[in-house]
Amino acid sequence: METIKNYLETMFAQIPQTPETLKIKEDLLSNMEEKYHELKNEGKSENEAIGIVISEFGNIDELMNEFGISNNSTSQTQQKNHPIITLETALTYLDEKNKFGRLIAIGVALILIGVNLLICLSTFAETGILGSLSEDTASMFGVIALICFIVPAVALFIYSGTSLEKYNYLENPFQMDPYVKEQLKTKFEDFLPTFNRAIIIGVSLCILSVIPVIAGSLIEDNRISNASFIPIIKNSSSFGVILLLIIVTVAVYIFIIYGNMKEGYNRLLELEEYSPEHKNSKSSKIIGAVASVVWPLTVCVFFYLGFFKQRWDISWVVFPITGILFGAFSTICNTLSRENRIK
Amino acid sequence: MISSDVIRGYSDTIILYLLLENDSYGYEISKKIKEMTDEKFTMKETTLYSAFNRLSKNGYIDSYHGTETQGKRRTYYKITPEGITYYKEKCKEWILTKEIIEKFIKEMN
Repeated sequence: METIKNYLETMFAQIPQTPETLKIKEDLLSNMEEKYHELKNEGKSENEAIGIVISEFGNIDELMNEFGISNNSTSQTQQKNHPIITLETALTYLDEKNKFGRLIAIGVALILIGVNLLICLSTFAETGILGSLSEDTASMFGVIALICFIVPAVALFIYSGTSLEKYNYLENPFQMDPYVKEQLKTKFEDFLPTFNRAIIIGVSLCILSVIPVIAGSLIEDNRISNASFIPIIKNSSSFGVILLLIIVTVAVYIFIIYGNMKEGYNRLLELEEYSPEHKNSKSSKIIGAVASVVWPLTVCVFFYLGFFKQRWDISWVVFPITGILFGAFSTICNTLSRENRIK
Repeated sequence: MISSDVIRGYSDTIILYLLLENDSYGYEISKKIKEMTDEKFTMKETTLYSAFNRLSKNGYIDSYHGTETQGKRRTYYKITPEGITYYKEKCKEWILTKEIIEKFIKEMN
């Protein structure tokens, strides 16, 4: 019995383990075992029975040819030169992706905190909490604070970007054992509920973040005249904005961390933006090109409004506006190109 | 024992023939082949399973798990309507093949 099992193991050693081949191997084993038992029942000796079973096994090349064909033979030869992703590489990649994703999230959060600090300072100056400090001076300190937050953030971006550079080859086609792919898929399916929960929390936070602003302006409009000496009430809509930014920072942090984890899976499993059709599509190239112009421009507008118009309290609005417009633009682009492809 | 290319080309046909009667599993099929040919022909394990794999891929057979209570569960195979069509084609092909080859066969002493 053991002899048959070992024989089969040796024969299958050179065949990649996939659910398909494992199934066939299992079936073969039970088939051979049944044959063995029947031969023994017919009065054959142990050795004779094993001998017959093994002699009737056939040629493993026959099965290998069969699988060679089943794995979509036409592209097989082309793929030979593509790097092979092992399970170990894939898991390390996901690990590193999560690690550096967290750093990027921290960087973005730092920038948002910096912007918030700027708004805080000008609001405080306006309300007089900071005593004799003029609004202009407060804004200046705010900008300095913002820059102090941007520097480590940019450092984090560069660090994570260069650290992940070694995985750039994943941009190009790669080979993955079907078995490894299956393992990753299971892991991905385990991760999806967590991802969905994170997105729901993030979106809820974004919606909730509007409440402080609305509440703030309501209070400001209906403020009781004798309470107006309390600075927070006097400028409550500005404080609403500060609260909004704090909540949005938390939401963005969640989006980046989980979005980044999902991106890792998408890339390895070649889903969504990393699917072969998408990678070559015109729309993603257009979106990429437009993004590289629009976002720096937005930053310019942000600084222009701040420095030259002294409107630090309002200039941050350009980011959510651009974000929404850009989102709409890329959705339209993708939809159009998808329709073209269907036609 | 014979193992010619001709038989190899018809291993699918042999398996489909046996599945025409009733659903069956690997060992039963190979045993029946042996019995029907008076042990003159044994289908090798790898030939059998390559054929199962190929036939499933082409949609000529379906597989399902048996309901044995003891031991390992067997994989049963069932012929599909497409399988029956394919079997009929192979039968026609064989009749033609046989007709052709027979013209070149003579008894020699």
